[in-house]
Amino acid sequence: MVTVEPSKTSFQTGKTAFVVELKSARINAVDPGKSSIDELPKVARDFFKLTIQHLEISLCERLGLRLVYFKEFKDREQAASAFHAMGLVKVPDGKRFDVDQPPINQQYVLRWESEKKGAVVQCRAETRKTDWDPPVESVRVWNPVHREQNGIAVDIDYYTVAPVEVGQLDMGEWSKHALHVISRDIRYLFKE
Amino acid sequence: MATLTLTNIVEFPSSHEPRTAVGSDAPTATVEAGERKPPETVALAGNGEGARLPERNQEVRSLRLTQNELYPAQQAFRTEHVTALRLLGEGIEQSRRAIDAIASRDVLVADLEMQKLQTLLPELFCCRALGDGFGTLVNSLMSAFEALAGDTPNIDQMRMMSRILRLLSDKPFLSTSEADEQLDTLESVGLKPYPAELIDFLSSEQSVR
Repeated sequence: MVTVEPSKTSFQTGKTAFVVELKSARINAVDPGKSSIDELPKVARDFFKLTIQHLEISLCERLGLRLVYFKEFKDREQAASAFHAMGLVKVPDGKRFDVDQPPINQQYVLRWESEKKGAVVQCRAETRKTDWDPPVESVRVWNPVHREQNGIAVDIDYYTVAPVEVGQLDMGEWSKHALHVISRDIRYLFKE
Repeated sequence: MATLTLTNIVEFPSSHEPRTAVGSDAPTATVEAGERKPPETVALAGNGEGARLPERNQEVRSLRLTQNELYPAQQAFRTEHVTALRLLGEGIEQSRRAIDAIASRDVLVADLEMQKLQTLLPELFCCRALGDGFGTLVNSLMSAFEALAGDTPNIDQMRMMSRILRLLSDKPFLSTSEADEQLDTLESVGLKPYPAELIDFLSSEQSVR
């Protein structure tokens, strides 16, 4: 049990967090192995079934499955170069805005949305900086963390727009279908 | 005097940001080329509404996802789910043909179609892993046929059975309480949705002990 508040209850097991809060319930899995991904539909089925049952939910306004992939590169120039090589955006050659260097930290975002369903795909070259110094009283226990990571993140959010009645919904089943649709349709990014 | 206005970049109200929340941490997981790896973060969310709001019912009816839209990938189906949807489709079609036959006064064809519907119910009952509500309703239809003892259901009873099949096709994961509400509607047209053995047991002395 991580948080217990009137408006929010959260649990954690390993690297998977379960959150129930006002108007939303969700599962977050960080660095899931393949076995965790395979296990996700079963876990989701039980978690959302219990949440719906105990909170007497009758309608889901939105269902969403979001996957974030990250591939690390040595530095931001290499990440930018790898992004450019994907050919997703057309970049003008030469000096632009008085800068000689080619663009870095590029982003590519597309959204598909109908009255019923939608998806957002983001691909971005990004730099993640972590600067953390422990409090003075803890310096003997914790080392400071100063880290920079450069890479390409592919971030896909697949969701419903139209409301879904709970009698229509098995979240385990839905997540399996959503995973299938994402893995099938995201391949265009990589020219497969 | 010329005024120099600095470009004041106000952050664009982001409509492209994904709404499915992930945790604030974003640890790394490298993905090697040519190798299929799991994502670094997976977030699965459901935004719910507790009350059944009458004003939303109209909206829900007019703009709702069908089972095919909600579960679009044939390869991702659970066996029970895809089998149930197939059988329910057949059952709905058979009941429709029976109702049409009654309308054209062809009782023989209506009876044949209802018999076909009755024979697919046991297989449909095998899909009850979908939920207790599903099992309850399929069982109630089986009991209703059993109580008819070979008689052809009348037009109202056929319509009610057809309505139940359509409900199951649309909401196969319905709750037991929602299914129980439907049993009353079956009784309202003279069908007996409870197993005869259960009625006998409940009315026997054995059940009192």
